[in-house]
Amino acid sequence: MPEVKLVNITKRYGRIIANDHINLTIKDGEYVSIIGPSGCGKTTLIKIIAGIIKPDEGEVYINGKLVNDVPIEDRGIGYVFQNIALFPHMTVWDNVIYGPKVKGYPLEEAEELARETIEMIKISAKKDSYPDELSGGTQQKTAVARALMSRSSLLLLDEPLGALDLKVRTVLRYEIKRIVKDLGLTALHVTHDQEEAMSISDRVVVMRKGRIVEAGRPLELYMRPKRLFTANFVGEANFLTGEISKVTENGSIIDLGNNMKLASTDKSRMAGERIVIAFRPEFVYIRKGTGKNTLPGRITNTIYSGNLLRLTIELPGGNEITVKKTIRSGETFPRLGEKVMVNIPPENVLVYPYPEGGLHKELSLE
Amino acid sequence: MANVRLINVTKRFGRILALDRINLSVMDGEYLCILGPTGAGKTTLLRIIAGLLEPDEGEVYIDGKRVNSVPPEKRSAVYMFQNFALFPHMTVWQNVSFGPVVKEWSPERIRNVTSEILEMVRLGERRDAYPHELSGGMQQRVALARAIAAGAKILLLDEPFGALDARLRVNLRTQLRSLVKEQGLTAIHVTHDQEEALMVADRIVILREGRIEQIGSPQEIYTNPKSIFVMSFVGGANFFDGVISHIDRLGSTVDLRGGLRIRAHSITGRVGDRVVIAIRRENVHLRKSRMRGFNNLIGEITDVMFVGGSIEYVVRLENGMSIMSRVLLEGKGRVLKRGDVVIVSFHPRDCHVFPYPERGLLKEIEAI
Repeated sequence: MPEVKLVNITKRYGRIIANDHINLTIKDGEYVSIIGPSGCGKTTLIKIIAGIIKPDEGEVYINGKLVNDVPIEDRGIGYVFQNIALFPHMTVWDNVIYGPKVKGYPLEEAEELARETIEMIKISAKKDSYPDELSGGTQQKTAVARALMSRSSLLLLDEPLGALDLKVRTVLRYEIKRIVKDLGLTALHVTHDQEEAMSISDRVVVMRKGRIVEAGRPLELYMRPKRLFTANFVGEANFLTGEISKVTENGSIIDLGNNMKLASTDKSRMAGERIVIAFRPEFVYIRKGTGKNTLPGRITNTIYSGNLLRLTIELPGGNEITVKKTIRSGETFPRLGEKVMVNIPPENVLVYPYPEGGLHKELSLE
Repeated sequence: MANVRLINVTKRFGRILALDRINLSVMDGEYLCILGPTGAGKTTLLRIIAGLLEPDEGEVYIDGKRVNSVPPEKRSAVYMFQNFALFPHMTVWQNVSFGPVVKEWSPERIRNVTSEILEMVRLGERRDAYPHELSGGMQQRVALARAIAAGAKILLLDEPFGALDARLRVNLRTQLRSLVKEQGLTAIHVTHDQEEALMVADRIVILREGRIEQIGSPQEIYTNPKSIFVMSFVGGANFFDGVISHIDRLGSTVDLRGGLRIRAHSITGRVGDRVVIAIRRENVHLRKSRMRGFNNLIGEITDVMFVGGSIEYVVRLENGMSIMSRVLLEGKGRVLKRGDVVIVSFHPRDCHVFPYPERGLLKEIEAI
């Protein structure tokens, strides 16, 4: 059973804590991604699981066995690196079959395994090509094939698509997921691309400054992020500061200043408390007249991107929010300067305590 | 005045034709994006405008003057950004005044120009800061200020956000566009990221294998793609292979394998022609019950993916083919499930018809 369990994993580099008491269990057959800004410790963590880096404290269990002192080659894992690490003087076939050969597998068995693998990854047609004759995408497919040759049921993917073109990346991420699910593997995938993580994972772990901020199913993280940092890092969101003016049976009323009030279904805060609200650009609806839970505004910018229109709307007091709207064919675009009302349903108004270090710092990704 | 004109520009590297008779006019103050996959010739084109490469054939004009044999340092209006790298050991002020200092302007002129430009990019108060003390957006503004101080009127940007986190890129690119527009600069921005191009460009040039495939505003490119390649590269779509079975004054009917029939308003070719039908994912609607009109198909959801605020469904149709539908996530967070049976519908207006490509459909749409 390829289950991974991390208990209190801590790793320091001088005064910097790269991993600070990380506890995480990855279940058998689960596809888990770790995301977070540069320097959050995600790469250190995957390298600790692989056995490339030793933790200062804590335990790594694979299949229920403590593996802290087990070297990488004996941990029973497949590992795919960001920098496609193929042998340049070997063909695709020789690269793929290299591992089993070195380990002294019977040749026939190794060849059978290699044939099966390149078939599955759909690179059979390229088996006699050298790496420099291949596109970046095919090179990375070869690297995945090589990692699968160990037939280990745990696959670690360290920014596997980071070096590739956007379009190739999008196609390949679904390929990788398909293979992982077809083979029933357990996968841990580290990426800086939150959309990549959200689109293919069963569960996403958000890290920041060496700690896990929160973990959850992609849709859950998007709709109901528990932390302000997640609301900002995963997908886009608008943020406004305010104060709870009243807590009601159905939620709370938030005073945003400048005569703006919004209701939220959240009732975790107390009246008088200073808070930050967050809402997604998709969940803001433009209305002609006034209505429930609306704010007045003026369109100050419109950006077209494919089928989506991004509007910037200035609220009383000068704060700006972003609204995303699908353009249906034949529809006219809202005009620049137009005065509108925007509606945000109460269930989409997320409420967070005002962060100690200030809002700006909490939302900074740098 | 800062415009660029290319006439029949051709460039070969050995046997590879990197650019094949490129004709292009970039207007004064325009924000132009050159979009295409790796190896399309985007960077070569930019380097030719900068003067870092000589074209084998054709002419390059900047502000109406032919500059073919003018070296890059003499093309004073043109400024090539490799990235936004600043001198890390110099303050904002020193970075921005670098060009004027090298040009040995008088101290007074250097002082005036530098402070004026710093005010323009709203960095007057941060003049003594070092780059590492600034946010990414501020660093970008310093880099731009440095370029303007050096006399730049035409910015050449080669994948300027390539190395940044996806989440940061979105903010920086809209900021960059506003700055360029505020300062009245002309920008030529090379990218392989279609979303980036759609968001910032006044006009987009789609480059493929050294040739211009289409030029147009983001809307034109998106709503009226001239080829399967453009439609696939910008936005993506469902593509089906079929044969025209009927044409009347309202459009055409295309038969797909397995007995499926699609009605399209567009008319391309004649009855019996092999064609490709293309439908954007967001124009494919999933419903519980049948609608009136054409293009109602039954299918079963086989996969559900969550992609940046949208849900993408893969639906297997009765004839065994799969079609993708993309829906912006709605506030209640309702999502259909794998195994759900749905009615798939799309309007004939949203069905594009293209002649079947000579090299086959896959060649036009594959990314790898």
